[in-house]
Amino acid sequence: METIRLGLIGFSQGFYATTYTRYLSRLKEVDVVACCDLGRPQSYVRECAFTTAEQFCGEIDAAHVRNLRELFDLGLNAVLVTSEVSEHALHTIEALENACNVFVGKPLSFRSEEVKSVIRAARGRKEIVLCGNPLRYETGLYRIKQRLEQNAIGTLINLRLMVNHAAMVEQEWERDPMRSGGPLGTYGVYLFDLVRWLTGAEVHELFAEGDTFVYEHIRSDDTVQITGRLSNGALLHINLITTVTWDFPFLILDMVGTEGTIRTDYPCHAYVLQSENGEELGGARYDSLGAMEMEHFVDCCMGRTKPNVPPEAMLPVTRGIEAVTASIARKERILLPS
Amino acid sequence: MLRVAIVGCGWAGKWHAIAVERHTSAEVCAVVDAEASKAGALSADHAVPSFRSLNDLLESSVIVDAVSICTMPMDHVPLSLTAVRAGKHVFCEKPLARDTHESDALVRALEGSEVTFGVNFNQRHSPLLRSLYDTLQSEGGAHVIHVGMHQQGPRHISERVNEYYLLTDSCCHIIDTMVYLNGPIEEVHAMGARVNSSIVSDVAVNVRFFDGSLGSFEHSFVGASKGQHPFHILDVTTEKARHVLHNLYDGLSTFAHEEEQGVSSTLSVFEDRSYGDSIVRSVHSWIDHVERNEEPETGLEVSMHNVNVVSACIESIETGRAVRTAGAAGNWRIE
Repeated sequence: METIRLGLIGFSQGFYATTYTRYLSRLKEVDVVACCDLGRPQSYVRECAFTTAEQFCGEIDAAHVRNLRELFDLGLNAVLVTSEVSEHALHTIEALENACNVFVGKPLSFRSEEVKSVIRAARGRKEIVLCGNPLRYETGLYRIKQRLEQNAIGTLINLRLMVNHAAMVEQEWERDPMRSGGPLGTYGVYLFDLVRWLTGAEVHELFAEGDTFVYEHIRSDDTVQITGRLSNGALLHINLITTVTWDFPFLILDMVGTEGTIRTDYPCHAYVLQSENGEELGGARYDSLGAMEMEHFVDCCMGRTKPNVPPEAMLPVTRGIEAVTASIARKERILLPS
Repeated sequence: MLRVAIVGCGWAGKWHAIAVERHTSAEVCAVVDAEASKAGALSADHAVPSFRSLNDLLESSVIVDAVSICTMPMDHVPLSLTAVRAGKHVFCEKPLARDTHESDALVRALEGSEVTFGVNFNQRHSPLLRSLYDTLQSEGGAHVIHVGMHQQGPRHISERVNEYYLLTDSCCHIIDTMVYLNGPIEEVHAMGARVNSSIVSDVAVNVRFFDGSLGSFEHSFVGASKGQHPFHILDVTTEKARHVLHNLYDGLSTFAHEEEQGVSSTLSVFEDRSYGDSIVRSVHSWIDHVERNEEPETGLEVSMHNVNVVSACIESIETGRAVRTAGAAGNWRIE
């Protein structure tokens, strides 16, 4: 492939739709051919993306189309899927069937059955699916993963991950948990994908509690707390707090091992590692996560590398989300499939 | 002048003695320890007589108004009973007991008694934690609290260490801190692990408070080897802000939801900021309550609740189920 002929599917995830497409439109290997608003009214697009589809297409010199048939008829070989989350799987599969590589905004889905259908659709194809999780591109977290792999803190025995991000409540579709997944569906990918990616272990069992403290109208828990155990025996704590309006620090990670500890310390350092060998401070975080995520997508499309977040990686995420939901509803500890 | 005997002359006993001496209305009148060398050293420090047992002291001519019990936990209830039955005010090191059966006799002995009974949960006397408490009152309470505490501790069962020592003897501090900030705990779900250890060396616990808010805590005796992991981390989210308390004394950071700048508070360099200082403040609080003939801040009710929460955690680890705490009737709040 010499040039990526790219289309945008949906403006529902307005931030990803506009910033990612804008960034791609500036790359030499990418030609943003068209943006599809899926027939949604101008008011809907403006509410989600703070622009209209026409204005945005004018800005990046792309065609504005209203449905997927029109979009695929333009001879695309790649798409960004940033529609409503409950539409992601459907649009991803449709894009694959039209010979397009796919980047799908975080999360691919909050339902395991949908993830499985995407895995089946992608199997045996040359086109790739890259699932969104910007934190996979964060330098400090990547370095933490490396230090864990280098056994810098010995055997992991305790991990706490806190995600601290305002609930998505601005758009009507985001307030509907059946369409967005609610806060847990939205941020579950950060929780479960990060734990798995960093530790190389699966969540083996969990118990969760949830409640709604601020956003009564989202009909979903805005605060979720999870205790669990990983397949390697380490204990796990996850706190998801979406009742904040200022999300600093967005993420707190604190890992204790038999030989040392490593934790984020964002007001000062990307991380602090402490062991008998002394202290190690993580360097400055200088990467634009979104830009790196898009550059990785371009590399995947061009065949230079494989997706680091394939659909298979999202199955443990959705199983985790479903286990949390079940645990909250049944007030029981849930064992996850191995 | 309140005449206080120190029973148990180890690390805690030394701090209790220092605290009593620093109080304007109290003095150390005697020290007690089965180990003569320990009793002798503290006796010399404070120029008071020493005894090998509490009974020996009570049978002596020394005038004793109150007893500060700083022994190992398995002796807390028997020694407290002896002191209460002799009509002495008691300040007992944490935990009050390792389970509720152990403390039943003490509860009965205190019914109708004029003794002022308190338990030393000194962590709640960190000035920054106190400041956080005030803030939480003004912000309508917490939505969610997380406390992490990591320290090296015993890993194997011994005469002094039982299978759940981490919970009974150490987590009681975490539990009290959460109860102090947010009121009584209604339900827990706990998971435990034994890491190179014959006791439960790590726990992760989900908490629901009577007021409906959530909490979680973790504690490890194994982690970090000699690494200097922050001993204590406390994270609270309210409707107005997120607050982070670092190591009880190192600093309090507030990230208000509506302002895009964090605010950090630290103690003045002229202010005592050691762990021992929190014991001094705690002992002084109890002496003040004895003087006023009032129920101490960490009296029987709070201390029993903390024991109940520990028992619920142990039951949860053993059954794999969420367990409601016993004995915390209603939504009381400690003022």
